[in-house]
Amino acid sequence: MIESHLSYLAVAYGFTALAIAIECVVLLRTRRQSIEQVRRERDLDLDDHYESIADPRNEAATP
Amino acid sequence: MNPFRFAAPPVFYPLAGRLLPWFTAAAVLLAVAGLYVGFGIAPTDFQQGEVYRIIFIHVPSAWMAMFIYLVMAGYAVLTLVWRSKLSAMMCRALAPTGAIMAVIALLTGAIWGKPTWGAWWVWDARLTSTLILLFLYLGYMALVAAIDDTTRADRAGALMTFLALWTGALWGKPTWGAWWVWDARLTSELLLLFLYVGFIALQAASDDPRRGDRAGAVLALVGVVNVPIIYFSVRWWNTLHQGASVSLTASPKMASTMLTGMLLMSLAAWMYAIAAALHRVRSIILQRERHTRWVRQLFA
Repeated sequence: MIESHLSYLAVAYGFTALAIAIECVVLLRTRRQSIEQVRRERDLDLDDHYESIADPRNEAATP
Repeated sequence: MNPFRFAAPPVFYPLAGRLLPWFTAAAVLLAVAGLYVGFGIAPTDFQQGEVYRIIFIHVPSAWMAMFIYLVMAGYAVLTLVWRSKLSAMMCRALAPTGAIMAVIALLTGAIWGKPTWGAWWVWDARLTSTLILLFLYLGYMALVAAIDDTTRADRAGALMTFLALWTGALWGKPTWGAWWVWDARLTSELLLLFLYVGFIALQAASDDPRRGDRAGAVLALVGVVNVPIIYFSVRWWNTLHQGASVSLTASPKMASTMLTGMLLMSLAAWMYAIAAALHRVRSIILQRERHTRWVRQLFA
């Protein structure tokens, strides 16, 4: 009786720990992806900015 | 000091970052204390034996599942009335944690139900309304994700119809026995009606970049009707589920150490939910505000 009760407890607490662990991993991964996205897009915008300065058509258009 | 200034993402983002470790530490410490009291001090139940100790995760998670939805509904009002950007983000940040709490409550309830009732699941008022709460959380998350995506309203519409049909079917399934004004069929029809109203409001949301926020807010408000149904289901209907574990008007029915363990675990769940929401909202703020100067300067 007690052993079977303990197995129910183990499953319930084990599942809860697993659910919380999964949420924590997803939270950390999402945070890392968000930071990477900010950095990537900022770098891309900077590249675009430099390209537009270096573009000879822009120089030609300059009086 | 103007408290509304904290509603600005550039102000809230660093504040959330400073609060996050405190809530995380409080959650861990309270959980350790709660588990110590629950397993080390609280006595064995004379009727249920050891298995009652599931209460230390089942009740806190069930409370948080309901409470988080109420908080989401509060933020939904702020989103719709004041068009607060941060409120919409908080709504999105809370939904996954609420869904996880609902899953934990349902599964630990099933695991507890087997040795005590002899069944993993019964189509009981409390259980069914909690399952609908889980569907509402999942529906909210899928809805805002669908509207953020390109196919938008048609997917959202299909989702709402799915939700309406399933919640209606789930409410149609049980036979309650003792009927009251809020009987199952009537409640389910009302829920169905509200879901359709939510869908119509969703369709009406036109080409606005924040329509996902508004649609989600409408669904959060529509679904909040389910929370009092869950809470009062054990009073309104004859259910297999036991009555309220804690009442503000009556003295506790359980040993004080059991109650202490449960309250400590509830506080831990509360702190955890706040920490998770703060962590998630920081990621959402970064994603949404990534083109702004202040976000780019953060990672310069």
